[in-house]
Amino acid sequence: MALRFHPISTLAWVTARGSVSGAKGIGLIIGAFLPTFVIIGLIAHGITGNDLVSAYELLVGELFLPMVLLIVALLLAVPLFREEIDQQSLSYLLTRTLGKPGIVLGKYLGYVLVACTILLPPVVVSYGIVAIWGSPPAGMLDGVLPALLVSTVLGIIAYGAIYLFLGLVTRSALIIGLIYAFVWEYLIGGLSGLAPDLSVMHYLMSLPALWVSQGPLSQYSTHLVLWQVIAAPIIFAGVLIFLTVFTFWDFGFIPSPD
Amino acid sequence: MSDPVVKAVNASKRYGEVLGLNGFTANFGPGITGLVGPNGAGKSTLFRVVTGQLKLDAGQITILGTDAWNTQWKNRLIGFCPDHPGLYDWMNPEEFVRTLLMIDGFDPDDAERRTRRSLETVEMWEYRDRKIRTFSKGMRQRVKVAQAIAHEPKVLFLDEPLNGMDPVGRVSLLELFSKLASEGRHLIVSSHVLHEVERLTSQIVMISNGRALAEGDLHRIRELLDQYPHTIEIETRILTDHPDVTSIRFPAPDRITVQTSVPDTFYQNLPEVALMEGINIIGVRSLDDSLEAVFRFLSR
Amino acid sequence: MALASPRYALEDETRQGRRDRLWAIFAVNFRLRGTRTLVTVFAVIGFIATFVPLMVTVFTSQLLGGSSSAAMSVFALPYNGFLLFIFIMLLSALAGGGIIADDLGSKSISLYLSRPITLSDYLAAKGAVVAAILGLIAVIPGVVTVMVAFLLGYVSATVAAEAFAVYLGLGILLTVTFSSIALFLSSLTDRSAWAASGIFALLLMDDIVAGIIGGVSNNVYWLYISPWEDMGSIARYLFSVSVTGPSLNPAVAFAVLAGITICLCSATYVRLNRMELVTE
Repeated sequence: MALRFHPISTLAWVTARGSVSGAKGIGLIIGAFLPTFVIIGLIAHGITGNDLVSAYELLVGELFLPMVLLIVALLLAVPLFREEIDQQSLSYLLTRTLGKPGIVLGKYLGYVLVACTILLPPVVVSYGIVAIWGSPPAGMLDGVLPALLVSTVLGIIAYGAIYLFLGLVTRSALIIGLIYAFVWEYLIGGLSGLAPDLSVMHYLMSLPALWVSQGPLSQYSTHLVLWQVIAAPIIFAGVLIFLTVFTFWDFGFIPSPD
Repeated sequence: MSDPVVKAVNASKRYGEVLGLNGFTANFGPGITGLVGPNGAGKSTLFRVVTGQLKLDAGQITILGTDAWNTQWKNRLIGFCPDHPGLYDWMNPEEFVRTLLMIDGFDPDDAERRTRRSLETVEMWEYRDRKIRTFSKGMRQRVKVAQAIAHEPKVLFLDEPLNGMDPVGRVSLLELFSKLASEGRHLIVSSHVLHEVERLTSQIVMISNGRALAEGDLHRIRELLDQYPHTIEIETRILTDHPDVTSIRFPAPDRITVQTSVPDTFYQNLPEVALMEGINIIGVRSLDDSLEAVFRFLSR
Repeated sequence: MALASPRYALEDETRQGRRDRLWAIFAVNFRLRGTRTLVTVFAVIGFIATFVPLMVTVFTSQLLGGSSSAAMSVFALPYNGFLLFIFIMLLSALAGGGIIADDLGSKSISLYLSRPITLSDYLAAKGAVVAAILGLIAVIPGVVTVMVAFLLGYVSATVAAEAFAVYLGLGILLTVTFSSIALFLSSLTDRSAWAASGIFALLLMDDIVAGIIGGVSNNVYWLYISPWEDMGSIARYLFSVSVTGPSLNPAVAFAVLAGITICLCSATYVRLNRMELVTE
């Protein structure tokens, strides 16, 4: 069965629009810009130079990537299937000619589109503010922007795939997703040896560590090389998308009692 | 006799403790077929199976000769109006119907044209810019019907399509369904409102506890139940012995309920008897010659 | 045909008092939320994670014969680290996320408020549910440890009573503050999962941002914006933990927490009071 572009792109667009309708979208955008607001506040208090760059990288490394990205991905990806199953509106898609793999792909692409729209601008804006008004020492910000952009995209891809799958298979997807994000990722990521390789965040933090030469981001400890750091989240996402399609293929959607 | 549109052979579906379908065997023929049954009978389960949303545990259900499960191409030929109220509330009805058409593969211009036509058909075009979350139950129901007919399907599955509709809306939808059937489409309509199903069609399938109780023409089903005496209530002051009467009850001082195994003969003789006996009959009501009565008897 | 109007007779009835009605709301909601699998699991794990290190520390610190302030400072352990904080956050999210959101989503809040109870009673009962669940890890491990230490003779009766009272007081402050946060965020949405995510995210981000800004600006007063840091400063003061370097003023920290609680409770009340539940 061929995957047709036009229906999938329509579903992706509709998914993206539906994900940010109303107060939810505004809340997510404000949350994504939280580190930016903090940076503006620091500059307003006269903190510039080395201190500001350190604060910026700390905010990225301890707030934006491990918290903001995770929460935004969670709140966008889990409802992709979960909300439709709970509202029983999935029947409208299932009785179309799009097919189940097309539905999964369309929803995932829609999520990636909206997550990138919400999460990438704060990365660029924060960097821009620090670079223009923060008086950073020469060379201190080299490689930071591309590293953060790539890390953010990889995080969007990988976490989105996890939460998409969770949203399909369990009613408690948001809670389990929260627990996964803040218990598993923190616990495993905090261990020594090869254990952190089981944490997606380890790859996202390793990328700036490999790309950036100065500052707190460069001090993250990793044994990985660049191609591993980029390939692993993508492969992980691919496996989970396949698992989602496989699970969805045989899924039955029980009607509510008459 | 033409091939059935939907054919179910020993179809069973269980989820957890609930047996949705239990060896369900029935044919849904061309034209309009009414699917009637009490709450929890398995009507919605059957619709979900036929439209490919649920997989059977046993047996087979085919639609237009193809297995119902995971056959995406057939979705172009079917339209489904579900019973639940879930819709994409953040959209307006025009966006909703148009989007579903585009997901079905229609190009944007064609989708626009079909959207307008289907919304005009269900009298929702004037509300096309309002968000669905502001709609009443009846309006949401019309939107659901609109998305089911927009792509001009060959077979329509309508699960409780009259839910939440006001009396005028019900009539207009019933007229629409009759019109669609007259255009050559096949409709399978489930409803609790039995007299409206009777209005729509005489072809019915009765379901209860996941099993088919009866299928075919309603009146033929009724005729086959020859062991079941008709119950007729005669409002009169005078009781008379009559060979056609098998039993009499007196539910009230001015009322007689008569049971007879030959209702046609009884009706024929009743005026003469009333005249000869000087019985002042105020009213005569058959309590049994309805879909509801047949259903009640069969599901006992 | 004659028509006769029906005759009705009111039976004598006794209505329960306000306290019983509040208890009814509390009991049913505590049973509903407290017995959920995830809440139970994390309450048990949180209890163990707080109780065991505390007991081990008490046993190994050889309190017997030591000064009372040394003994008291040992009991401050749960408030010195992040473990208790993580479980408080998780339980606030799991138990508190749906405490009002579920009622809004199912429109059952109108069933509550159509009974002879006030909105403030409703909120008090709901808040008490979250507080009681949080108290399972905020209060009980500490007081049990103190009782065990006393029964084993590790601390005197005076120290035990003091530590018991401090744990109780700190626990009440902690549970009331975090319950008010959960109550407020839960009242903002009709989806419990979003409220839960918001509670967790807000509490954690608050702490992280406070730490980063405080560290970068070398100004410890930024830590006041983190409820957990405020709790920590009050706990260190009450448990006589000596602190080197700049620290938060416990009186100010208490005022911050009290202010947060009062503001959020008021905001929740005002919001729900003005809300109209629209159905079809």
